[in-house]
This record gives sequence, C-alpha cells and structure tokens, in this order.
Amino acid sequence: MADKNLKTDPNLWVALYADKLYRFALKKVFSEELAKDLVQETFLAALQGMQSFKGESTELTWLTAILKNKIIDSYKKKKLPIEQLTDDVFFEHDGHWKSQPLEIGINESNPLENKELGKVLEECMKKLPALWLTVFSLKYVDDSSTELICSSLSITAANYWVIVHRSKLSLRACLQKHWL
Amino acid sequence: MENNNRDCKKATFLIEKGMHTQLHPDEKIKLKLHLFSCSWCKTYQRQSKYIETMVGNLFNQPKREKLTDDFKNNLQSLIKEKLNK
Repeated sequence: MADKNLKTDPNLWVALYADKLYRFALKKVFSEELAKDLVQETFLAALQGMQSFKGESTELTWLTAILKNKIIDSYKKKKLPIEQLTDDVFFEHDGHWKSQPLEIGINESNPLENKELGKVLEECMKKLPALWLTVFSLKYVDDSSTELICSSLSITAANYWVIVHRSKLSLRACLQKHWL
Repeated sequence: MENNNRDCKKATFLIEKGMHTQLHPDEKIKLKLHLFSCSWCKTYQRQSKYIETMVGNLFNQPKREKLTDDFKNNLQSLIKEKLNK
C-alpha cells in the first residue's frame, strides 16, 4: 500500500487527470466508449508501473505517454486491413474522374457558416475507415512524421500516401454530398 | 506529350503528396502541366487545401467533454481495490 518512496499518489489520479486524459483520447479516437476504456487501461497500467515513475516528468506527462501507447495498441489490436485500396470509386481505369468534382459551398469570408461546415466534416471523418482516421489523427494531433506514423501502424510509405489520397477524396466527396 | 499526363488519379495523388512532403522535380513538372489543362483537378486542389486546414482545426479544437461521476467513482474504486491487493 502507501509506499513513501512513491512519487505519485494513485488515489488522486481520477480527480486530477481523468477528464484531461479522456479529452486527449477523444481527440484521437472519435469514440466515447473507446476513449473511456483507454483511460481506464491507462490508470491500470500506471498502477503496475508506478514504481518506475521517478518524478522526472509531471504525472500528467507520464500518464499521457502511457495513454498514447494504449491508443496505438488499440489500433494495432484491430489488425486493420488496408481497406478498399483496390476498389476505385473515384476514377476510371484510365485515371479520369468518374464524375466532375463540383464546387462545395465554402464561404471563406463567413467563419460562422464554416463552423457548421466543420460539423459536417466531423461526421464525414467518422465515416472513414478506422485506419485512415488514425493516420489523420497521428498527423494532426501529434504532428508525427510520416516515418513515425508508418512504423506505429506497420504500414509502408507507399500505402501511407495511398491512404492519405483516398481519405481526402472520400472527405471531399462526403462534403460535396452533404453540404452542396 | 506523355499519355499519362491526362491521369487525374495520379495528379490528385501528387497534390496530396505535395501537401505533406517535397515532390520530386519531375513530379512537380508533371503536376503543373496537368493542372494547366485540367480545371477539375484545379477545383480539387483548391478544395483539398481548404479541407486540410479544416481537418487541422477540427483535431485541435479544445474539447470540453467530461467523464460521468459514475464512471469516475467506479474507476476510483477499481484503483483502491488494486492498491489494497
């Protein structure tokens, strides 16, 4: 029990850090249920590893690092296939557009309207295959390098570019469908 | 001119790649030539840049969600239980 050499007090974790970790997880996984599970797993892993916490970083930094690993593990656990890469809904065999990319009503001078557009975009993002969304979240939330993203997710650089390309095409098509 | 310079799939691929990394000079020229004659891909390029910005904003907008008290209480008991083992 209470070990005086410990630099951290697990009894305070929930009150101090649970919401912060939850929000961090939510940004990355877009699912409340999964985010909750990840917070719980993080605390349990931290309990097991708390002897190794030396107080060199803040508790929050330490817990966040554990959470990040849990998030990446959760992607790996799903053993996500490189979805739908051969089935091309956007282009003909010769590389021409199947249908013309239409104008999307983006009003660059009206931020309020674009806030609504942001909501539509969020819904569109949730429809992306999990692996694709993961690529986006690693890129934007952590500003990870291409190399790091590829190694975290065990995908090749070639596959990474194909995923980025397909994701953007899908998002654009989804916005055109729901916002036009 | 090369046949594949009419390839919109390849062109949009280069547009995306170019937003994340430096394109090879050959790729740059190919893309420029393609965009010069393809208004559909030009539309795509403009929209894609805007979507890129919006996605960035979306991920970085502050979250205000909180865990429910029930969930926190359960978590607190779970931690206590493990500590007392």
